[in-house]
Amino acid sequence: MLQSRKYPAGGRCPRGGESIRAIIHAALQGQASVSTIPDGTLIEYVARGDESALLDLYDRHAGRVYALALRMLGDGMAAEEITQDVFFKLWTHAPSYLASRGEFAVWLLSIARHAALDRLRSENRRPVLWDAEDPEALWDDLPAGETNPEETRWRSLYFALQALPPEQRQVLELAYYHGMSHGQIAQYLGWPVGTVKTRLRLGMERLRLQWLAGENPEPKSESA
Amino acid sequence: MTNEVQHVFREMVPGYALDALEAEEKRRFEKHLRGCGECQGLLEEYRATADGLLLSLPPRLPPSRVRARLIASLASARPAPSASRPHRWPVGQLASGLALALLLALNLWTAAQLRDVKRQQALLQEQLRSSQTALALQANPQARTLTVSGERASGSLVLNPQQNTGVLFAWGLEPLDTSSTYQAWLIRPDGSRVSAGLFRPEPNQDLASLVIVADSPLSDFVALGVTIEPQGGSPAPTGRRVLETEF
Repeated sequence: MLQSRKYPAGGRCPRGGESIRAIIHAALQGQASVSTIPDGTLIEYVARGDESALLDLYDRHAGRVYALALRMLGDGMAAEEITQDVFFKLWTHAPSYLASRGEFAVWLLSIARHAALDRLRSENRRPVLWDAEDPEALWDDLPAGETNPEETRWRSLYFALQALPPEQRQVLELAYYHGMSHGQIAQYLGWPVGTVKTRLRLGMERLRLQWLAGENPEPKSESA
Repeated sequence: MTNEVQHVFREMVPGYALDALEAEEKRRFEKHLRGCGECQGLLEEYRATADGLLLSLPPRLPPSRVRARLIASLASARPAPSASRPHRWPVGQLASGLALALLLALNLWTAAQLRDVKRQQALLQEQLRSSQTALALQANPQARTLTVSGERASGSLVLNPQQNTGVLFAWGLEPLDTSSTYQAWLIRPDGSRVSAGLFRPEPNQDLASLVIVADSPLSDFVALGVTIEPQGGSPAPTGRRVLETEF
C-alpha cells in the first residue's frame, strides 16, 4: 500500500524524491511496502527532512523502544512518552547518527535507555522487578518484514537471561534496566556488596558466552 | 603487573560494561584500561553483550496514539519559511544531543577521548547548523544558491534574499595556523564592508561552512567576500581575499 509522502512546507524537497522513487520501484516489484529499505538509508532521508522515512523507522523499531521503556519504567504512560520523545529526537538529531554510524537499532535503543534512566532518576522511581514469564511478550508476533538474521541471537540472549539463577538475573536487571551501581543494588536487596559483584560478574559471564556462541543456551545450575 | 592484580581488573570488566562500578573503582579501572589490550578486548565483548540485551527484549506494540502524537509533533518542528522572523537554532539542545550520540557511538571513557569529543562536537554542531539552515533555506522557493569563487578555493552560498540568514560552504581553503582565521564580509552598495563571521576549516576536512546571520535582509548587500585575517577577526578587511561572489 502506498503511503502518502509529506514534504517540508514551502516547496520542493529535491532529495525526498528519491524515497518516492523507492516506493514506486517497490510497488512495481509487487512489494507491499518499503520496509526493505535499510535503516541507514532511511535515516539519511530523515536527515533531509523526509517525514515518511521517520515513520518507516518508527513502524520498524517502536516496538523495541516501547518494550525497553516499559521494562525500565513499569508504567505505560511514561513508556509512551519516552517512545514519542526518542523518535522526535531522531527527527531532530538524525545527522548525529550519520556522523557516528554503528548499528542503528543499538544507537536508537541506547538513546531510549538513557532517556528512561534520566526519567527514573529525576522521578526517583522504585525499580520494577520483572517476573521471568511475561504473558504479553510478542516474540511470536513480530510485525511483517522483520527478517534481521540477528533476531535469533537476540532471542537467545533473552532466554539466557531468563534462565540465569534468579539472584544473578535480579542483579543484572537492577544494574542494566535501573542504572544502579553495585553499592545501590546491595543496599536495595540487602546483600553484601561483594555478593552483588560476584553475582553480576557470573551472570554477565554466562550471557557473554551465550552472545559469543550465538546459540540456544543449555541452562546449568550454579550456586553463587 | 602481577597475575593477581590483573585478575582483579579483569573481574571489573563486566561491572564497568554495565556502568555499575562506584566512582573511585571506575577511575582506577579506566586508568588500567588505557594500557591493557586484554581488558579492552574483553570490554568490547561485554559491551556487545550489553547491546544485545538492549535488543533482546521482545518488542511490544505501543498504542496507536503514540504514532499520531509523533506525527503532530513533527509539524511543529518543521522550520516555517518567514519573511521577517530570523531563524533561531536550539544550539543548547543540539549540543547535548550530539554529545550524547557521540558518547554512545564512540564509547568514550577516558579524559583524552572526551577532549576529542568536545572538539568534534563543536565541528559537528557547526556543520549541523549549516546543513539544517541550508535545508531550511532550500525548501523556500525564494532561495538562491550562488557560486562563490576564488583562486584555489570555491564554494556555494545558499540564501534567501528576503531573510537575513544564509549558509556559506567552501571547499579547498588552505589550512591556517592558529594565528589566523577566515573572515566573511557582506558588502553594501556603497562599498562598505560588514563582518559576517569567522570560521576555520578543521584539519583533514576539505569542507568549511559558516552560518551567516546579518542585521538586515541579505538583499541590502551586493556581494560577499572572504579574507584571511588575524585570529579574532578585524573590524575591516586587511588580508588577502580568497573567495568572492556577487549577488
